[in-house]
Amino acid sequence: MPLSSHEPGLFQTAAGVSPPLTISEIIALCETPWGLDGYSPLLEHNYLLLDVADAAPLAGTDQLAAVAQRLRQLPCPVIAVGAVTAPALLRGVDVMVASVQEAAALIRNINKHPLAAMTLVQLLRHNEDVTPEQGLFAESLAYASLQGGVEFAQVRKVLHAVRRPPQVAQDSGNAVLVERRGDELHITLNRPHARNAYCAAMRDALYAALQLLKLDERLRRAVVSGAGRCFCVGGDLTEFGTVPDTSTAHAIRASRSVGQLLLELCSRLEFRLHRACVGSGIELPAFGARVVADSNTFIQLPEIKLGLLPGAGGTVSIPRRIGRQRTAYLALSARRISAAKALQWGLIDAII
Amino acid sequence: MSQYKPGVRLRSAVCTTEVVVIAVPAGNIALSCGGAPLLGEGDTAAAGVVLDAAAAQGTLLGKRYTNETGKLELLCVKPGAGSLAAAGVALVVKSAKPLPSSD
Repeated sequence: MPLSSHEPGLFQTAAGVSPPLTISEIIALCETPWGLDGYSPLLEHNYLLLDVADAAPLAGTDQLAAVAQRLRQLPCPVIAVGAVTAPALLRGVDVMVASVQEAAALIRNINKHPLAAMTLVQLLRHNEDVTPEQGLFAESLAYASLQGGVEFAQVRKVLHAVRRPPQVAQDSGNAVLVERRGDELHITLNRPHARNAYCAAMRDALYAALQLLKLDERLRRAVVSGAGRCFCVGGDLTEFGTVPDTSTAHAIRASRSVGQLLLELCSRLEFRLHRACVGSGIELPAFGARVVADSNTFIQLPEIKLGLLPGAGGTVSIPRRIGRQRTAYLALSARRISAAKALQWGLIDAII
Repeated sequence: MSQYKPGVRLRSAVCTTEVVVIAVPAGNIALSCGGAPLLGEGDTAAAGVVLDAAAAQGTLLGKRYTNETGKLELLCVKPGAGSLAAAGVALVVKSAKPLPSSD
């Protein structure tokens, strides 16, 4: 059963391929205030495909900066086909792809969940211009908005239908193991049968372990790893859709903000990854000053397929490492990337 | 019987336990681990002191220990075999209230 299926809601959304626009065409459309109004998940286009072939002669001009400024306000992803080098134009580009074919994979996800795609790129634009703390706050609100949205509601019906009992019963002991070895704290995610799915109990235990690191300055650093076959497969799907309402969900995130603690302690944190690092399984490590990974590691941000966005701090931590456009590429494509690619991008620091 | 300040680090005389004082009531208080008084930075253990089997439930890393009134709180930064007590009364683990999933 597919995890998501697009059903038109109140508004009939565009599902086809919108043709690319050149910079000159956008300049022409900007001559009227409503020229780009159709670029909205509620109107004709769920995204704007940008052909940057004619960008070079405009580099450094006010015109290019004005186009970028206009694009940055659009309530939909702006996908540039081809490399964008002019920093002024980059301000208006959410994600870059090499070809229209490569864009197709993103467009499929965007057309299924255009509200999630819009909110994601808006959040990443916002977080580029604010402090990490403000970014975490905005992420929680943006996530809450999608939790209450029509797209996640559709996904939730399917999740409820396929819901299995939690695997945690097979796992014994604490959700997180904490051990002191000299001046190092070793933190181990310990739900191997659930592939270390990030559940509420694991979050609370990780939060407590990080508080210990924060309080005891004699601890030089903490090393975080996962027990079992992989580091962490992301949010525990058996818990998805269990929160009573989205404002309570935001309050819970604000009350146990692991992301905030990771941010404060980042210089003393090393993460050791292996195999699957999905969703929160990469969002949390990306805060660390050092991230090392087994060569079998793969990384994925699949939230768009659920009509959501990365909500464990990833819209702050991942852009800090790889920038806004590559973060958007991961989150809109929902594709797995290898340890080698992650190393090349700087999402991890070494393969061990 | 000693007076303690928040932030002070204390260690057990009879096991590997170490704690940091988080909160402490005013005045003198007898803090012990494994039945022996907790030691401050420069203190040395009294000769022949051993772990009291009646106070050997152990301490857990990262747990906060508190007394009945809640005015005393110690954070265990190194675990050990002894158990913590104030004026001979065993301290209990104080846990943060679990919160549900935010998903």
